[in-house]
Amino acid sequence: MKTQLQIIEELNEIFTEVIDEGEVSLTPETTANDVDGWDSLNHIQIIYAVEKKYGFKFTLPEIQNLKNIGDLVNLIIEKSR
Amino acid sequence: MLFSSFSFFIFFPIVFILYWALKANRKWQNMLLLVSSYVFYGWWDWRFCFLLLFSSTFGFFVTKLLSETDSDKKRRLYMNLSIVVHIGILCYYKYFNFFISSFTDFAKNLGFNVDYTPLQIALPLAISFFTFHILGYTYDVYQRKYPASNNYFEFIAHIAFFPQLVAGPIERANHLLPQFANKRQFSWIKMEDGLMQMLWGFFKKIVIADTLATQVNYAFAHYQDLHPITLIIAVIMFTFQMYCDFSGYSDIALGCARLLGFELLQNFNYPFFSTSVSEFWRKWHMSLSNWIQDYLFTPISFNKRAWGKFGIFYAALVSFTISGLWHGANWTFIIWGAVHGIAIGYELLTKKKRKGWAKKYNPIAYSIGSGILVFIFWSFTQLIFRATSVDHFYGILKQIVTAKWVFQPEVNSVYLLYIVGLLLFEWFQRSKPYALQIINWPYYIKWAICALIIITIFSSKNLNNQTEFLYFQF
Repeated sequence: MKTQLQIIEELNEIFTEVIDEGEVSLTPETTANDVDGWDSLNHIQIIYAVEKKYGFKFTLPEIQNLKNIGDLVNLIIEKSR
Repeated sequence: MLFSSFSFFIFFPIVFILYWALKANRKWQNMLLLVSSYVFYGWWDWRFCFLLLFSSTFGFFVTKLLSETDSDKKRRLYMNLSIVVHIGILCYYKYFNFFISSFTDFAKNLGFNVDYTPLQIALPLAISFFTFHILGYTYDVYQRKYPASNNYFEFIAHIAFFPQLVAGPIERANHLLPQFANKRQFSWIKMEDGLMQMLWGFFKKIVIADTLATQVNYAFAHYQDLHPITLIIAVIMFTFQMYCDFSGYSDIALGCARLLGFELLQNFNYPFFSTSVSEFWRKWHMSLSNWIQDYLFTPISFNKRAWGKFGIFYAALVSFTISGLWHGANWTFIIWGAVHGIAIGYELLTKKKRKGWAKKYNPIAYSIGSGILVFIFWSFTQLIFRATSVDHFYGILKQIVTAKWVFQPEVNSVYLLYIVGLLLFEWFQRSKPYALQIINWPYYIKWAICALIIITIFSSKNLNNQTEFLYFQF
């Protein structure tokens, strides 16, 4: 089982690659407003990259209910069980 | 009943007085709104009321059933049932003849001999608006965004609520429904604010839109005999006729609702100062663009996320083409929607590149340049929108491109000053929810301006010669 910290490290890589506007450094409290270039469009691409990385699928309501990175990490942990 | 008709000027004050007289009893107030909304709607054709009642009743119960089950399979079944029934009704009234005649035209082109006499189907007013309103509600409950309504009368009253019924804003149940469940407060400031917004709406519709309409209608009807410059002016005039007509309607709707203690969704936010097509859409018919984004674009792009950037382009193209078709059963609307879909898709895919360009140039010059390009694009697509058929559009375009340029407009170009005046006033007031929001100005200036506007409206020769609001046909 991965820890929250490990998942955040992996998300940093995914975000940096998808957004492609320099290094991204996330914390559980980070929201879309805090990251330059994180908009609703690359949000969907980020979600797709996360799905590929961890090997499961999200549903649309799951994605729409996320408030910050902490929520995303918890969802990943829950879905990986 | 038209907002700008004599009957409405009798109807609304009666509703207003009775409504606030019932202030102590919210249930009776809601009942009054329900009955008056059906009177308002039935004024055109009483038979339409049955369809509205059926659609909202069906929407209410199917969503209630959906919310009461935990089985995903059943929930999906109810959701699909709702889509099939509501879209089915919409297609029957709005698109049946279009689909059949497009098909027979196609068959004829292939050499088959098919004969088809279109059915006489009267298009019920408001059907596209309330269908989207109800479907959005069911989908939100399906997605578990909020619980289903338990109050049938409040629900059907909020769907039929007359200020927004005929041409929007396309409301959201979680925005409007709680307002029916809560007590409405009477306040003089709100009354003043509501009246001013209505006044501004009437001014834009009766004084600006209907005046421009006379020139536009002439030019679009006689395009074969007119010079390119005349046609270009007519297209620009139509762009603003549409804006003043539709945003005028929305202002009247919002103002009228405010007089009854309700707030409707903002529908326009000074779109002509946009520097991209995407921004224009965020500020133009906002209740529709948000609807398209939440219920078409997001689900489609999510569904096609494995396609990468192409999935986004595809989602933009499909959702805008559907939005085009929503406007009416005509190929011009479909092309109009698709062209916007392509433009939005292009902007989404080149976002980063465009950010880079913006850094290279002077920011003000870049914004003005982009604003002008967006305006040209928008006006061009308004030409497709206004044309009665693809041939009509092509004919006008051909005339603009091939006819001889003579710099002597054959329409009254003085009316272009209306547009300049409007844009200047809007620029000055662009931080306000609507341009005539001057309630904080000194009272003598404020009332002088209002008096002037009222005089202008009543002295306008359009008053006895009004056209229907353009969005009533959709």
